[in-house]
Amino acid sequence: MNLITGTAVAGRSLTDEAATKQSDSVRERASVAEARATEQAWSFERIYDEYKTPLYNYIYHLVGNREQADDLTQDTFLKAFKALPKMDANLKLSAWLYRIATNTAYDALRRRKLIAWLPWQDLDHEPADVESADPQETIGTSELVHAALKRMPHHYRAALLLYTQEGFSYAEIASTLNIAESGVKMYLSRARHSFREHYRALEQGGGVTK
Amino acid sequence: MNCEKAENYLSAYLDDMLDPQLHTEVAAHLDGCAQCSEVVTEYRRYDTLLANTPRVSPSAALHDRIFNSPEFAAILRQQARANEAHPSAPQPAERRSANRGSPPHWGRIALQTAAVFVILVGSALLLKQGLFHSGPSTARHGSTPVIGNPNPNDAPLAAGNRVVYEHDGALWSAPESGPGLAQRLTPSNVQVSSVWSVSPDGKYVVYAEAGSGRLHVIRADRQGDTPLSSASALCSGAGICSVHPALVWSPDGTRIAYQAADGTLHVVNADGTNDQAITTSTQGLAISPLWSQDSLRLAYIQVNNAEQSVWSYDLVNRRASQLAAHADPANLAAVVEQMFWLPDAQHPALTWATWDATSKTITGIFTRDLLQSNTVRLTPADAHVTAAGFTPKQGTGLWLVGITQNETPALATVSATQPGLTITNSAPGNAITGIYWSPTGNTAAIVSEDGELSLATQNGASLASSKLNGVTGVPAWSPDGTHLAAQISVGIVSMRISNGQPASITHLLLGEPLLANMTMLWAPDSQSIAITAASGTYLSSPDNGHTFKQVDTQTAAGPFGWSVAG
Repeated sequence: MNLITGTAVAGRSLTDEAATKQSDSVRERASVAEARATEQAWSFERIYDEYKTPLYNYIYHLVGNREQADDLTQDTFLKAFKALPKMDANLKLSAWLYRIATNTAYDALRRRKLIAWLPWQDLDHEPADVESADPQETIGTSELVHAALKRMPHHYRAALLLYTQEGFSYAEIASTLNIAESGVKMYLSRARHSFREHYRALEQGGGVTK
Repeated sequence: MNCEKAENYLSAYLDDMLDPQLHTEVAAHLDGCAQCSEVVTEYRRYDTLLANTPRVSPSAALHDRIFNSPEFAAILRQQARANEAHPSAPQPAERRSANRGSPPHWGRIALQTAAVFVILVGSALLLKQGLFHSGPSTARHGSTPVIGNPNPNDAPLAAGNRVVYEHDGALWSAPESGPGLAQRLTPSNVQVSSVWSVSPDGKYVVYAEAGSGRLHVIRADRQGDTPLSSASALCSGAGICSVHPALVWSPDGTRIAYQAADGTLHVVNADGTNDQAITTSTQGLAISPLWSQDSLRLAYIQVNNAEQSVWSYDLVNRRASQLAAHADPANLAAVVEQMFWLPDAQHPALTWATWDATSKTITGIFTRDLLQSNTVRLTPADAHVTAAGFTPKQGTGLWLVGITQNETPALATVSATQPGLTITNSAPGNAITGIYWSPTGNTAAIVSEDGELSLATQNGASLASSKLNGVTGVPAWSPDGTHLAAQISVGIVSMRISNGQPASITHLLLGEPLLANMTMLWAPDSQSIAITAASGTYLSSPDNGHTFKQVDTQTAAGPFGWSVAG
């Protein structure tokens, strides 16, 4: 499909810094309905390109499963694209997208309590792992990180991920998670405490050694 | 400022988010407190660790999935319409879809979400209060979409292999294949005790009602629940008999042995007829009934004044015979830890191992040939045996034992028919505490005192080069001997075993708090394993694309069974 027209007009005014860095043209306005829809598609492409990896990565770390992260990233973008034209012009795109992603993932985590077969291919190990001498390597650091995150309450997990992986400020986290900035302080404090407890426990735990 | 107070501020301190006064106070505390400084250092390290965890990217296909989707086309159409009609006005969200014909796709998604919610609410009721059967009547007549059968105990459960387990006074059943979740197996008006058992062919489940101990038989598809009228005295309440609850089908599926409230053993036909006591209460408590393969004999232990004797009941001539007046004549405090019939049904013989809880050793292994008059002690009196495992698949039956000799652990074999102990492997390391044969008798899992699990073949002569460590509890072999699941400190793993070597390892459940009495059971087809954890009950298929489903948000209260519905 070719929705990129080359015209530098678009339907949305976006003030979010992260979004505008690469989307100057997105600030401009369209006058003809048809062209505007086409341009929206175009700006959707730009938004997708810019946010696909950070959003997918964030969702993946929230739900711990690639296939589900695919589905939820798709849901997140489609929800965003659908709602975007109705949003206020002063929308902070980045925090808003992460808020949709967070809610979509939370919803899925709630549903997962009762539903679905989920492949855990990302946790599978080949024979090489059995031969490995170091338990920390066998159950690799990123898996320990992953496992420790998984043990945390999900709202603390989201705050910690947004801060450490997405580089969000306290204000941005507050906006994304829809909590007060003082709440972010508490969330991050508890998140770090919780992560430390779980990570240490996992680090000292068993694994596969030769 | 003390540590307790400082701890709350360390995270914000690290981020430079404290007001200057507080910042100074925390800094001053950190100057003099190694413990809190260490926490800040570790927080910093974990921040870096998280920041450096590799980013995962979506597949290239995701782009097309989004931009070629009908939903995206609908969004474009909607925008084009909105722009034509109201070039600048925001559009109200779609809200009509649930009640009018031909809902747009997002409407359908909203409906699905509603359905999910119904399942969630329905199941929460079901799980917490056992109300599945007597749910609100509006669910049957109202416009709310009804998921599943509103009166599910009337509907047969889907055919196929189904795992069965108990919690909250009911038995639950979940299908091995497909997306189905746990459904209540037993009627909602019956409280089920922890005593139940699946028939050998998987088609029936017998269970005892809580309180009365009355036995019921129900089909695996939850049809035809039938109380067995005469068999109603099962010991299912508190008290000494609940320590050894017993309900065992004969291998041919025609009879059930059970322990009655007075501590006697009964045998009843599976249809409820011909209920008879095979022991008397004056003899003491009778425990651990064990059917012979031909279903003609029932071995059991008689407990009197804390001493154990070994018995066999012959169902043909209806006579009990004492096989050993003392399970271990040399140690009257020793109790039978394991007991097996030898594989040759033409030549009935029973073998058992006795355990002394004080010394934590196997005090002896014995065999009694029913055609002979005496019990034979197989292990030398001076052997220091720390663990034993029996397989009927090797010759006339073989014990593999862990011993300690000159303070060095070793593996040894003991024939089930000949006294003597042959050392097969001297394995330096910690004392062996568990030996678990694969059902095929090809490989044995050896667990040592420090939680190391190794695999032994050739009767212990050959040990696999890789070990699993941090193992707790009893590992679970798949029926075909190709997989071994074990609980380790970070979760539950499954090893695929090939030629006695671990070929690959799969995490079944990672990052779950450990349960003290973790139970796991492989399906009869060896494709799936049922596991339970604090967060719920799961079915996992490590080989079939490593699928994984949570069938229940509740933890199974006891062991699993596998049934076959349909």
